[in-house]
Amino acid sequence: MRRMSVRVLPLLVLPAARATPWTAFLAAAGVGLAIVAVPAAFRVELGVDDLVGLLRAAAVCGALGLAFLLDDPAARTIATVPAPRPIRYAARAGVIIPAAVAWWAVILAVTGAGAGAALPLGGVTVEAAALACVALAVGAVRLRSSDAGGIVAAPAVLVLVVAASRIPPDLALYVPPGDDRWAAAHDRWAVLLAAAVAVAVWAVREPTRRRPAITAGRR
Amino acid sequence: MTAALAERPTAPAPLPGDPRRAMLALARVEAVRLPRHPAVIAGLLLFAAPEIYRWLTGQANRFPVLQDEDWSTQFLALLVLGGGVLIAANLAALRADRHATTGLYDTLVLTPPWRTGAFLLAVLPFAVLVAALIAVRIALLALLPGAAGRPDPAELAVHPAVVLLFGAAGVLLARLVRTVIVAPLLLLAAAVAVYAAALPSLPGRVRWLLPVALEQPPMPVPVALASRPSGWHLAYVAGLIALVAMAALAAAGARGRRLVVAGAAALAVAAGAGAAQFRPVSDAVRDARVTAAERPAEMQGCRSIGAVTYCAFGDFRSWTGDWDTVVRGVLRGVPAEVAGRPLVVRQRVSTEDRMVDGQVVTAEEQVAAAAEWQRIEPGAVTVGTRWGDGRSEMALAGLVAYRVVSGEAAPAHIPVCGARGVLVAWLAGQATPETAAGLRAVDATSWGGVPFGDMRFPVGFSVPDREMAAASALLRRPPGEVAATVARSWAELTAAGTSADRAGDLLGVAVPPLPPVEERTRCDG
Repeated sequence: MRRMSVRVLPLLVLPAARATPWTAFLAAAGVGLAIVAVPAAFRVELGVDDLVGLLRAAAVCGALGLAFLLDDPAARTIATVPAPRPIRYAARAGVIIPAAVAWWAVILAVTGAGAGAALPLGGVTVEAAALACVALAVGAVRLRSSDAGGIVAAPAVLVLVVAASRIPPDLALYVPPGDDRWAAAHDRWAVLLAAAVAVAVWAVREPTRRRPAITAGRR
Repeated sequence: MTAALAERPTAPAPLPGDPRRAMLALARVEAVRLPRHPAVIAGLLLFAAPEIYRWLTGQANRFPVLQDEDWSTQFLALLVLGGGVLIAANLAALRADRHATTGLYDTLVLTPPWRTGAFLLAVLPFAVLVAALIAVRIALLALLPGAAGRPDPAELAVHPAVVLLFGAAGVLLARLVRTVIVAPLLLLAAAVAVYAAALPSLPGRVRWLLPVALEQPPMPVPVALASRPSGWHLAYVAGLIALVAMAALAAAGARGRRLVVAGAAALAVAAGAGAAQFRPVSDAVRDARVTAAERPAEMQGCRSIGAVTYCAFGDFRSWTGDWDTVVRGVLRGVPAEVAGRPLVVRQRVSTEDRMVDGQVVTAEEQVAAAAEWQRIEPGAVTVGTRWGDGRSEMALAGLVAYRVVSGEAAPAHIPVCGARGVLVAWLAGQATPETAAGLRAVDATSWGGVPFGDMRFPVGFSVPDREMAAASALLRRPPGEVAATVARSWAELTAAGTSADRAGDLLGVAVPPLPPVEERTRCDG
């Protein structure tokens, strides 16, 4: 049964792409692109710090857009189809992740083209991935009990970003490039990323209610 | 029959009830819901919690400059308080759309424009709450014994004004676009724009067209020198609020002459006040700046404690006692006859930013700037307009120590090597616990040598790592014991030619060997 479900996965990708509400993501991706492209187009001289700041702002845009991509107004009506919930979400992820990666690659290319010095692209990408996964994870958790995950996930991302920029320096997440704490901060980002992935994986399971009394009776 | 049923009823019957009262009732309900929205609660926590944490852990600066404190939290208020309200007001105004109940509202007393008016009014009580929060914060800061200057009510009022503006923008967005993503994106774009407009590479005054004008002044200045057009900016933001509110009503379907008149008035206020912000700095402020730079004594009051005279700008007079504590601490370590010599500590400000990225200052320019600085009053020790951060204490202690040890005016950021370097660093570090903490903090983040004095002033010096190592070893010993040793060899230790090794012998501390030639500091001074 499970193997059959997995074989269904490629067939679900195209319908999932059609059913995904792209408007929010495209709007957010557009704003993110504008944030890095405007200074590049006007050839504003920016230092590594400022360019990393722009990349971080673009990453927040991306996460805001991704927060809405799991929303599905029809989710309740397809709860009974044979393809289980994790497979349906895997199909969604198969659409979302390539789109997000392609968008981020464009962002990095636009920013990197205007930069004089080498940018710490790896570190910023870890930050962006962590934010994106937090957005998806919060959205997925919210979707267990509701139809709209984005309206909780998007503010949650903003709160996380502001909180991350205000925590005491010894636990800082947003550190300037070249800082001694860069590596340690990115270890923390990686932990956040892993935790978000774990929560997301947990959240896509079918939200069934256990009824111990009945199960015990049937045994 | 069927045709009659399908026909849309034209001209709905006059609505019973007073829409004004119904609007106020809805506004009351929404005003109670708004501060309970998680985004608003998170915003309040993010605004207040870090500051409360700093006070509880003793990291807060107990010497706030009120004319800087009044506007320095504006960007944060925009981000967290304005952001929270923007999202909450947007979601509230979109609630009917999100729950697909728009049709049901057609049966109620309120038409969409009145409903929109209620959502706009619902932001007001939260703005009052923010105003109270800001007022309490600045009042608590002003009550501190170390508070300097006075806050500008217009700068304080910008905080609640930004909250109102973002709340109104949230309602307007809900009437224009029925997606919830737009509000967070607007917030992000606003934050990036405000931050980018503060970059020194951008033309100066564009930032005043944004809700919050973020600046990075080199240092706080006395109130008389301040050039932020705060009153006009508040009027500009007020005009924007009215304009956004009128736009929201119009987008909801409100029409009529009164709306057009109010919208035109709001536009006129916003445009007029927006343009007025760009008027050149007034002559009074420009004259005050010249006076403060060239004849600071005219704007200052002086106070003598023992042989030391402290001259401070009026706003900063409350700090002289704390300066004296540091100066006494330095003089405790020197022989009594040297400590009794007259000394002048004068507060200075520099309104031009000497720390602009990429600006290269040659050694000759540095010396010329220092000579120009000292010309005002040769021999006076410079103290700035910051205090309470450890580094300012350490800078004053260092400059006083240099003056006492060398008898010369402060140099142009050159290294002070040999016995003088060891002695000056020790005197500065042992003065008070704050100077010791400041010295440790600067030592931890500097390379090659420890700088004393604010880099935004043309005067200052640095002590190379080798001399600093000897001074650190001395600082670990009882200060009285070291002071006695210093007093015995004062003449030799303060002579310009005495080496660090000789100072080590005299004071009984190990001095690290000289580093390889390419890593040595050039000691011209």
